[in-house]
Amino acid sequence: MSTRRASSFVHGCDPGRRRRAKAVRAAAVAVLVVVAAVGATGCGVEDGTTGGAHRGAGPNERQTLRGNVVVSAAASLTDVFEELADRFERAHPGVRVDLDAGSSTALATRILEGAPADVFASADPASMERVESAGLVERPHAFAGNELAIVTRPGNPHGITGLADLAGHRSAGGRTPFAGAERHSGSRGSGEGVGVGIVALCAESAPCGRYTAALLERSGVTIPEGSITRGQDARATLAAVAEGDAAAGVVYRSDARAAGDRVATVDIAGADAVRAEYLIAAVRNSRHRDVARSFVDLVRSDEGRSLLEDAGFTRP
Amino acid sequence: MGALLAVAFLGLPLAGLLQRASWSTLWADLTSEQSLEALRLSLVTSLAAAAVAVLLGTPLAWILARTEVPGRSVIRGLVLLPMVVPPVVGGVALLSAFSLRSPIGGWLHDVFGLQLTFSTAGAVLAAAFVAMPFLVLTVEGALRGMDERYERVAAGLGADRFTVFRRVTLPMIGPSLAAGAVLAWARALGEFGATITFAGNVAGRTRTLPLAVYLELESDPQAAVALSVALLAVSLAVLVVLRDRWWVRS
Repeated sequence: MSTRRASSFVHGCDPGRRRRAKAVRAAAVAVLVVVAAVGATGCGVEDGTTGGAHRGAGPNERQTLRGNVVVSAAASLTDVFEELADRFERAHPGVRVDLDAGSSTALATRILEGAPADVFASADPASMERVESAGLVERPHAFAGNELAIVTRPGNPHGITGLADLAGHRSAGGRTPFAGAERHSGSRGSGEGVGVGIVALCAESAPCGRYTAALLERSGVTIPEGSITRGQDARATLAAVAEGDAAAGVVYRSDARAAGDRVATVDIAGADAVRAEYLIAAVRNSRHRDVARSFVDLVRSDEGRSLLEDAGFTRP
Repeated sequence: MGALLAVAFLGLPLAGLLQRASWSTLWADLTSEQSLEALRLSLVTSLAAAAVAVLLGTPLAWILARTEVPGRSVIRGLVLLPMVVPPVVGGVALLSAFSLRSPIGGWLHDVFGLQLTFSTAGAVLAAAFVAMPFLVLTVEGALRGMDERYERVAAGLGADRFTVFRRVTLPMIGPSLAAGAVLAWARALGEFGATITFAGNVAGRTRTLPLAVYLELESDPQAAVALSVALLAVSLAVLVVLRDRWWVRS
């Protein structure tokens, strides 16, 4: 779980100039100046109102946004939300977005215990329902979907083709040097009795862990607990394969894409039977609810959606 | 006033933990299958790590205190480093040294079939890495504070170096060695960052108490609090055992 400060300085825009512009009192003038500045520097985005019909923004309400907001987002959203936060900060120079990424379950628990979040983006409806039923968030919106995929070491040295291969059924086959790829990996893959070695899965409490359990059950595959390392969220699980020694892991398709060539991706047959559903909502007692809503709007806008799709997420 | 704030700052979280614990189910939470497994694993790995620290750290402390080896300050820096570096960074460093993809880790696996990552041995290694400095510093301090003349007399009477160490030095630094070992053990027991980074989180193999606490905080907060209370009790016991060193004498 990392809190990150998205800096607008690295992107070649001059925040100071727009911050000065923003200080102009009259709202109308400020809007004009900001629009002009954004247009001139060419690094702005639309105001985030694309999907924001519920705001009912009259001309007088369209004042400049300001304030620091914390966006608590499922770990799998990290890259997309970092990019969106950067764009949001560039479009609204008075705004700072801090991203708090982690397992949706943990984030929901923290919000329930009073952690100061302004936006909550969950990787499953259950986590969102926990905070919603406590009356802590505004109406949630589904904004993306995801599917699970297997990631392996680059080149897929164990020749994994599906979930069943993760359960250690192939221990004998994996040991026999019948294929070039197997031979190439030498003896490294052959643990005692376990086919491919350690498999990284999400903790059962995290949404990706629940999705994985559901998919394994549907597939009739049982992986012995002793050969599973549990990551606290999707990205920790990914790291066990991308940076560590886990032979394979089950993560979201978007995670697999984010890891690039550090992993090989293996499609899971029937993965679409268990689809992750992402929901986002502004937190009710946020001190900057207008900023929070505007960020939600940006995520749900065409711009947000296309970023999400580029990253491997599906439409909601 | 500042002191009062400091006491409150240190004391309130502990009070909060104790207040949050559900005492009626504490025993059941602590003796659940997962808890016992983590408890057993934590005992094994922390004791093994403390043993490693004693076996490797004592000679190192002796060299630092008694000899003029070149690069002693560099060695001292290396000893201190695990104390100040974030444990997660230590885990990443261990990973780059001993993962299957690293030269050493790959060699260990190819020649001996040994894999440290995701193994209990790896958890011991991670814990020993962060715990060793506590032992080395404690023992080195004792060696420096000890009157060297006893050793010189023993040597003058014909004892060889090892005999001097065993019959003279060791008995004199014994209490400090024990204190250092307890400190190292306590640090190993609480080790989290290097362990989860390097050894992973495998039930029964590397999921020690702190990892179980962290994981169960999301799914079963009550169990997590119970395990935390258990760890707190152990820490208090360590303080009581070492009270002569820190409380009474000063």
